[in-house]
Parts: sequence; C-alpha cells; structure tokens
Amino acid sequence: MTLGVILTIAVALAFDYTNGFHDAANSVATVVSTRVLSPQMAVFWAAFFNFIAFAIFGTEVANTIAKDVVEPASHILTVGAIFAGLLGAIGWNLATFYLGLPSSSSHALVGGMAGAAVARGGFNVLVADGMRKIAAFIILSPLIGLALGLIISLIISWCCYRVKNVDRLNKGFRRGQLFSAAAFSLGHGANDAQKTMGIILVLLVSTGHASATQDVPLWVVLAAHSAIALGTLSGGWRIVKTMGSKITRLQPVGGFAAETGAAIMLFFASAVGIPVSTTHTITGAIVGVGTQKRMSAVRWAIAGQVVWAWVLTIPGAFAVGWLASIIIKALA
Amino acid sequence: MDRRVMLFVIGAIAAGAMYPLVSPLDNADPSKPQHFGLTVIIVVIVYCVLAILFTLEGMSKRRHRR
Repeated sequence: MTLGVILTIAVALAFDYTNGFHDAANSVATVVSTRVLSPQMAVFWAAFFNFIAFAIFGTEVANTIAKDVVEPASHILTVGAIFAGLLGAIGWNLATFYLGLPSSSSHALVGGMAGAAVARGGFNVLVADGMRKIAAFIILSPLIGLALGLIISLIISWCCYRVKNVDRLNKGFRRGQLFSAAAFSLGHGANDAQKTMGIILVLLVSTGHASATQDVPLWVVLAAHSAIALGTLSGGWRIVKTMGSKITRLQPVGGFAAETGAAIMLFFASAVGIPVSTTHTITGAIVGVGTQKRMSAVRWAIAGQVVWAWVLTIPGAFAVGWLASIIIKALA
Repeated sequence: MDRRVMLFVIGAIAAGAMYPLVSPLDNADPSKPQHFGLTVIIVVIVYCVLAILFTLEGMSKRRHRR
C-alpha cells in the first residue's frame, strides 16, 4: 500500500471517529435527559453497542456507498478525489458541530464524495438511481421516525392508561430505555460505520487492493466499528443539549418510544442498504413523541433550525468536497 | 385546521411526492428485496390515518366543550 492510500484510510477512519463524536448525542441524549444514565455511563453503553453491531448486520449500506453514489466504472474516484470528498464531509461536520447544529454526517459524506467526483468528471459520473434513493430517504427517514415514535407512544399510553402509580411506570420505562438506547446504538453503528467501510472499499478497489466483486474485508469492518465506537466514547455534548431538551422535554416513557421508533427505522434501512441519517431519524421520532402530548410541546423554532441544517448539508459538503478536489488536482 | 392534522397532511403529501423517485428502483436489481414504493405507500396511509384520528379527536373535544 502506498502512503497516499494509508493516509486516506486514516482520514476515512478519522471521519468515522468524528461521526461517532458528532452523533453520540443522538444515541445518549434521551437517556441522559431523562436521567436514566449518567453522561459517562451513557456514552460507554452507546459505544459498546456501536461496536458489536458488526456481528449482527451485513454490509448492504457499504455496498450502496461504494457503488451507488459515484459510477465505479468511471474510475473518477482516485486517491486524491476520495481524500477531497472526505475533507468536504469532515469540514462540514466540524462547522455544524461548532455551531451546535444536528446535521447529518451521512449526507455530509455523500455530498462530499459527490462534490469531489463532479469536480473531476461532471455530473454524469453520479449514479442517478443511488442518488435518487438517498435523496428520497432524506425526506422519508424523519417522517418514518416521527410516525413510529408517535405510534409507539400512543400504544404505550393506551396500554398503560389504567396504571395509577406513575412513579412505578416511569421506573419500568427507565429500565426499558436501557434496551431502547442499546437498540438505537446498534442501528447507529450498523448504518454509520458501513458508510466509512464503503469509502475504504472504493479506495481499495480503485487502487487494485481489492476486486470490484469482493465483500468488505474483515479488517475494514472491525476498523470502522472501532473508530465509530471510540468517537461515541468521546461524546458530543453541544448537540446533546439540542437533541435532549431543546426540541421537547422527555419523560422516560417518551425517551423509550423515540429510541425504539428510531431503532426500527435504522434496522430497516441497514437491512435494505439505505444510508440514512441517524440524526434525522431520532429528531423525527422525538418530534413524534412530543406531538403525541400536544403540538405546543414541540419547540418548532428549534425543529425548524434542524430542518435548515438538513437542507444545507448535502450542498454545503458538496461545495467543500468540490473545492478540495480542484485544489488537490491542481497541486498534484 | 388543527396544527397536528396539518402536520400529518403535509407529511403525507411530502412522503407521497417521494413515490415517483423511489418506485422505479423496485425493479432495478431483482436480486435484492427492494420495496421502496410499498414503503412510501405505507407511510402515506399511516399519515392519512393519523390525520383522520386527530381530526376526529379535535371534533369530539369541540363537541364535549359545547
């Protein structure tokens, strides 16, 4: 392996680390805001389930990122282009992290890679079907998360409306939240770590270190899951605040419903190979739970701010990736 | 219109607008189990049912107040 390939793999894993760091809040915000776990214990819990996701889910999402964003036959994704795409995604992630906005690391990666590829080969190197699927699920994943969060909290309130001892009920859901947070972290690890695997797979194929038909090598799977788990362990506290309490105030029962709804959506997406945003999904689910109480329980100004971050993520990362790709090409 | 009803009507329209985008993908790779079009239809139906439920709830609350 050349130094360029090793450096790009290191940057891809660093992106995965920032993804875990950036999205740790999504996994632990509801558990922390309902005081089920201390912040330190919550990130440890999430990181553990991020890591073991490799043993449960396949590599469908990795294949989508590797083959359904940029046409593999175009040979546009050279080491320099992949490096530029990663710079675009990391640059966008750091900017939104600094501003405390829960944007999507996944769409930053897709936007960055697309921008870097378009800078070298024009728009026809993008795979229309793959981009269409990813674009549709930018809208659909929060909508499905919202519906699932609302439906689960409705079912719980129908089943438990006779229970008079609210403290006991809350105690039960506090324990339940340990499982729902674990399920969400599994989904997060499965969907997000696979995106980095996809990038490393493209890199290995384009440099002749792997064949185009081959599955993701085990060392890539383990490295990606380790990086995301370490990132989660470091935590992203600025966003915990936005996700955990600014959108709506959650009780343990609401936290349980939101995480379970989001986890179901992430399991579905990981099984069929759709790279969705864990941030979009959990935000939708939290809004769904808030809506079950009453519309005014949701702070719509904050939810609106989140929607703007979603809309700007792909174009923002695309622009940074495009610029980085042109600079790297000029320097090479 | 109740704000919750409005949210679910807008959600159903937004999800429905995704149908032309994803339904052609269902047959793109027959080796994979892809039901994106069906997923969209289910989301639209769920949002419509929730909009109807919240409309009925709003109507019964107004009648109760009278």
